[in-house]
Amino acid sequence: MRQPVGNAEHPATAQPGGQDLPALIARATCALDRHCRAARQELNQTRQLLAEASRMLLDAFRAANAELTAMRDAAGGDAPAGAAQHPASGVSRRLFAASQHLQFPDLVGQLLATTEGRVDALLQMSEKLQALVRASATAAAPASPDADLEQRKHALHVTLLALESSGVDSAVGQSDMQAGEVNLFGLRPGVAPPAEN
Amino acid sequence: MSKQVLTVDDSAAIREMLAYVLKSAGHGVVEAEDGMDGLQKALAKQFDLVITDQSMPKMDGITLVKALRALPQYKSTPILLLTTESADAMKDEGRSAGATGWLVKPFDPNKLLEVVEKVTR
Repeated sequence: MRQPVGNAEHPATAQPGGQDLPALIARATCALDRHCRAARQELNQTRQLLAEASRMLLDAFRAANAELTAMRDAAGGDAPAGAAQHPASGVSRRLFAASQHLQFPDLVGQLLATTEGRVDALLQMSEKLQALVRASATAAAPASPDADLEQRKHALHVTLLALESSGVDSAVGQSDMQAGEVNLFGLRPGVAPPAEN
Repeated sequence: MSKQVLTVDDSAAIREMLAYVLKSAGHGVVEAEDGMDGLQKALAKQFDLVITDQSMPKMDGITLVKALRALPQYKSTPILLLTTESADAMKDEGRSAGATGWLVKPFDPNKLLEVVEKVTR
């Protein structure tokens, strides 16, 4: 079911001409806030759908594995005679392949968590910006220091520093369905890795 | 030959896939859901191999490797880091901590069994 993400607060026909800069910035921060919240909701929705799909895939995997075990038991052991031709061997190969692909929801979940964190940081920035714009609009005179305005500026500065210092590299390097690389170091630092076959 | 393997990952799905693949090859598997849980289980029983995720709550994989290497009974036990992280700096950190190898998720089940065979022989 489609989830509502809110209505536009300003008509699309509004023109920038005639608006003063603080009003324009106030509008921009409102729009930023609204879209960040919508993105957060969509990410949450994606996470729920992914979790449900993963649960159903894992259920199917377990059921297939249980049937495979029953087939092997019926054939009288772990290694049925003529294993290569036995139907269980084909099912087993497919389950093995599935065990690689069933790891992707975990990787995607990690990507989603990273993106949620970034959107949350943008939302914080948007909130601080809006508070600053409001404080600026109610400040008595630009020349005289206003305690509330200074406090809002400081809050924005702290949030900005946090955003600037946070990394933009993804924790997940995979961009396709291939298996990841393997590096063997050795048992301890300085010890040669086991010999390749 | 059958080995006793401790798998440490906060993802239940990854633990399940690891257990499926390792058990299919006849290995015994004990699961732990974070580094702290893994350390406790490693103290309670000696394992032939530890496969751990890196990014986990309570204790991450590299900290777990360091903690295990500080124990006499795990000085030379193979420890594999299985993670989504593939940055060289992070791999170097894992190597310095005493990890035996670095595997990037998703793992190929056949390749994983080859690595298990190689590091536990």
